[in-house]
Amino acid sequence: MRITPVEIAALTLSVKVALLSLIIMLPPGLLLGWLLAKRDFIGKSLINAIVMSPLILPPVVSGYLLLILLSKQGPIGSLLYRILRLEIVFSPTAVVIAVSIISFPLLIRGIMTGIASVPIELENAARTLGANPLKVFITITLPMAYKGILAGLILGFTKSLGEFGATYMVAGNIPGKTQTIALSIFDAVQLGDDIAVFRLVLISTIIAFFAIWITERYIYRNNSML
Amino acid sequence: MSNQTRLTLQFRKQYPDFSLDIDCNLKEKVTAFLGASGSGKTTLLNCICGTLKPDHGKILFNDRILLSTDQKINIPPDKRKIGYVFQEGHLFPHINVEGNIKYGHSKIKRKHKENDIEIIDILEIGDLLNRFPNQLSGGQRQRVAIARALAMEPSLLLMDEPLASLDSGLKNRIIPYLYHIKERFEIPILYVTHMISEAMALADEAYILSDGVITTFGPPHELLNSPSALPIANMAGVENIITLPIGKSDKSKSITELIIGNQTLKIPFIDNDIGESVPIGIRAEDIIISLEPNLPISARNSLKGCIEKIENYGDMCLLTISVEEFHLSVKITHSAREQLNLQINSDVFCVIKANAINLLWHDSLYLSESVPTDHLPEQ
Repeated sequence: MRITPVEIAALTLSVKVALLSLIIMLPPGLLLGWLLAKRDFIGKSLINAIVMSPLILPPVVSGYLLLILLSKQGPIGSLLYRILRLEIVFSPTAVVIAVSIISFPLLIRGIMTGIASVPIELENAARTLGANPLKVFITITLPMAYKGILAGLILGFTKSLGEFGATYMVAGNIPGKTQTIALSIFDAVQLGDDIAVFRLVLISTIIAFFAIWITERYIYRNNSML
Repeated sequence: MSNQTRLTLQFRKQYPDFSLDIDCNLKEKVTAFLGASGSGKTTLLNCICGTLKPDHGKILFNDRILLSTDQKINIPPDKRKIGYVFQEGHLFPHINVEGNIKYGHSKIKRKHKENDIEIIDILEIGDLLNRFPNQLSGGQRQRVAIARALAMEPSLLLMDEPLASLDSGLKNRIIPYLYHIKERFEIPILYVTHMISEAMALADEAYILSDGVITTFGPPHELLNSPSALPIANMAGVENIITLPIGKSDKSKSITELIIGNQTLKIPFIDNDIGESVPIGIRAEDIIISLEPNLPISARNSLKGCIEKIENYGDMCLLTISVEEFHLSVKITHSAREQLNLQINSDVFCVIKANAINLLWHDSLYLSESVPTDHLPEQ
């Protein structure tokens, strides 16, 4: 049972893309999560709905909307092409974008739950002790919200690994270039290559279980710190 | 507060079902705000520390404007230098005791060490520095919370019922610490509580807060006789609060006699000087009405009085009885009232067990016990 180079490429791409999308989305996720969890402002529910929409829309629909936006004729895609000569659609960048958008609701849900669980009284206490809002966020809110943030990161990561519909729409299914592990399973099924399907399913399952095991171990059981 | 120190509070905070309307000038070192829950005590402190913005008004501290809605000034809480000890402590759970205490250190000023050592020494928390808040008992947690607020070297210290979450035994052990802080540090303190005893033990001046407004203020001892102290006393279930001088004391019989006009009131022995005034509280239910004096019963007190008022109080009857220059509220059942045929101007005797008389405060309770002598303030 040997893994083919194409499959290895798909696996590395999936992991790379998932990690990269987390790194890219974490800072805006923290900012937006804090805003949505702790602040009241006009248009809050609208922003919340937009951020959460990939969770309720079929990924294919999200992917289609992205395709419209990012294609050379689309409002964003045309701009990028004119200025930077960048073609996003059907590139690895498109995979990152698709995966980031689809996994963002799960990431931000975790962040929001974590940040909302930090009592405002403790943040106010820190303010009276001379901490400005940024210091309060870094020294009180973030460390106390770490479980929720970690849960969001892990859920976002696994969601990214398994993303199929949106990736297929914007990035296509180019082996060695934009083909992720989920897409390669789809290919193998199409080709009737049962052994390859089994192999890839096993790999994805192991990764998924590993992520859940980490979640269990570091989030739900390790309560000694709090 | 010293002569130069002055906290001016003039503001209003409106909620749909409640409003806080404050207008006062605080000059004493320790000021207590007394009020039942829901009277606006915590709202008041939150407005002063800046985590809550009043709708209208101003807050001045030593002529520094902390808030002025007219001038559109609202100094954020982190710039006010006001220490705050919360009812539940609010220690940071992910930081150990030492980190909690040092959290408020300013970056500019480096010489915190001496002050920290003194605070840790006074509050006796030196052994706890490496622990996390969840490894502390309730009393330890509050002491650390007090230390944390003091370690930032505040120019004003707010305390929001810092003892409320503790049982009465622990309370009596924390109060001496507070007393020493008052003596040792030149920091004015604003203390909020619903316990008259705490106000009596610590405050130089007390304000009574009821439904968001100040109803009366003055030295705590004088306030006890004021009618507006009644709601607070009622909350503790003590309708009758009077301050009486000690007539004589007999340790062998475990009895102290208080003078009430031409009569005496016997209470369990207390070790205070003859002539000293003692505030006491008696629940309205704990007074028995009798038409004759000297009944063959065990209760030690029988005060002669006259019924001034009879009111319905739910399924009970509330009598106001004048005893010498004081008024006592007494609750009896309607059937008892009918059987005894009690009318306005009837002469009656108020029968009170010595043990039903609660001492609201006396010095020995807070200051003699459990305080190591080396912590007593230097004169």
